[in-house]
Amino acid sequence: MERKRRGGQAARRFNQRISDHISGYLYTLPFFAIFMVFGFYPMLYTIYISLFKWDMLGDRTFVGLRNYRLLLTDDPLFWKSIGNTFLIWFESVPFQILFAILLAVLLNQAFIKGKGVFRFFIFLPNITSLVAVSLIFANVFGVKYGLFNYLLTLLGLDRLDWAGDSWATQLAVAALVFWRYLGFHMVIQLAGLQSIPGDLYEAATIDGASKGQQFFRITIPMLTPTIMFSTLIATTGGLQLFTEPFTFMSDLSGAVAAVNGGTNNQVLTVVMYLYKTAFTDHAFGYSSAIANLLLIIIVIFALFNSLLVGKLRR
Amino acid sequence: MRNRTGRSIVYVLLLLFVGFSIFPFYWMSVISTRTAGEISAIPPKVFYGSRLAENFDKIFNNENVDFLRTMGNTAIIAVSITVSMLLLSSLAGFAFARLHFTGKGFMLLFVLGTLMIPAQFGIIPQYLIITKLHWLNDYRAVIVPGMVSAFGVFFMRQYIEASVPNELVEAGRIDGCRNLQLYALIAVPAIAPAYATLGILTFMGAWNDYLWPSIVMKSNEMLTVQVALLRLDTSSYFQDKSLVMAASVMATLPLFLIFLFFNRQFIAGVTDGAVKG
Repeated sequence: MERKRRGGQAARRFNQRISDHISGYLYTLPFFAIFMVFGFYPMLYTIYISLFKWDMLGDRTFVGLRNYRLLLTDDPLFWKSIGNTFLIWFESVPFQILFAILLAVLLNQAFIKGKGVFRFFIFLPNITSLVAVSLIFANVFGVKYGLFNYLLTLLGLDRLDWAGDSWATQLAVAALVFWRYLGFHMVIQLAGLQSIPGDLYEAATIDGASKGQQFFRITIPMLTPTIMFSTLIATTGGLQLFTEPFTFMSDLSGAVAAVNGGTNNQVLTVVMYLYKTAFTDHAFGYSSAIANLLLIIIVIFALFNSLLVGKLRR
Repeated sequence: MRNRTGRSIVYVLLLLFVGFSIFPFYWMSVISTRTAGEISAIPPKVFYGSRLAENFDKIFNNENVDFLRTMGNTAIIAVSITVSMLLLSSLAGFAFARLHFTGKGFMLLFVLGTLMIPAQFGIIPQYLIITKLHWLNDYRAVIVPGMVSAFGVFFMRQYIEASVPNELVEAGRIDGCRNLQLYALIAVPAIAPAYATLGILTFMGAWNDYLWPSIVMKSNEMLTVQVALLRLDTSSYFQDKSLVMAASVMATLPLFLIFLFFNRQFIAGVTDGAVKG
């Protein structure tokens, strides 16, 4: 009797193991199938065709690493797009994270009423359609009738050419990025603040530490991993910037200027250049080389960031 | 007294930022109620006008795009992607969290490794595949690649790992449940908050996507709303930004309503990765 039951149990366990295997593969199959076709295969193919000269209609010619050589040594536009991407990053992200921390600290004060309401409104820009938002900014920064230029004239200043002046266009796009993602980073920093144990502050207060000391000795060090997370997200996102400058430019100066990132290529980002080389110039091999370089840059940043976080956590 | 001033300063600062955050929305809604002539007037008109109905009429009877249709297209795409993402991610997440099968560790590592790859990375081969499949200007071109993602699978696995106890699954097994029943009867009810979070994130992402739909949905009937916003006034002899802004209001409204109802879940979803990860 006892033996029979044990035998039954073993058989059931065996059947269970088989059905677990079948279910396991079956349930994960949709992900792997779709990923293989639309993720993994394109990844390998992008590496492969970056070694060819190919305009889709003509034949593919194997050119080895020539696309990369051209990009790195003989293509000012590529370097310009990298410079633009980093410039827009630099004009928006540090401020964004700084203000996000400031806002989070303000909102984390115990006496604040209606925290949820403040959080809702400051986060709101993050949910909206990027295209709509870029169109609004294009309107506010309109050259002739834009609100911003009107305010400048009220102050007795000259209007700025937000579509033509390189630095002005970049600044407008940076402002848009700052506006859209400020709330996102604030919410992240707020969560980071709330995960700092309260007794740390209590102990510090008993030891006579001032608010300022508490902020720099407790809050900032304890918040560092969250700050690094924000920086990582903002950086990988910033390196992939496309829709904001593209829409902003196409509303201000038309579709042709938008593809080039403005008349002086002033907001041509790496992804915009990738898009232009592929879908306007039909240089697929060249464009794939850009994609690969972009991926390498992003991976380097991510690794650097995780290394830094690992160091700081210790 | 000093304390009171400090508090007031904090409130004022917060209010300033709220103003900064919502001003562009206000501006969008103001312009949507005016005519092209009114918005190119100096000084700018900063309050609401009376032309909202007229602008909506121009959008719905537009010479360039069938705007209602593009809203419908986007809704079909966003809803399909969201439903499929929730189903497929939770199924795969359940398998990774609670079933034992050979190669699971390696497969999960693979999922994790792909999280870092940027969305636009394989865009050229993806476009070629869509062309080969004859899916250009077809809903499938946008829906199928978005049906499930590494992020979704990983997110669900983490959630199921944390909120569906192994003992409960074992108990279900002793009661004779098969794997699919375990998933449907034990896991699915326990992960409702995860469904809400991933669902909103996915819907918003799909609704807001611009780059990919602009590449594969070229024909006028198949445009998504984001692409349509840029085409509304392109062939007119003069540009009418007021009607573009009225259309932007419409493109933003569904997202605003979803955020209004689910903002708690949404913000929880955004912060989950940052603090617990």
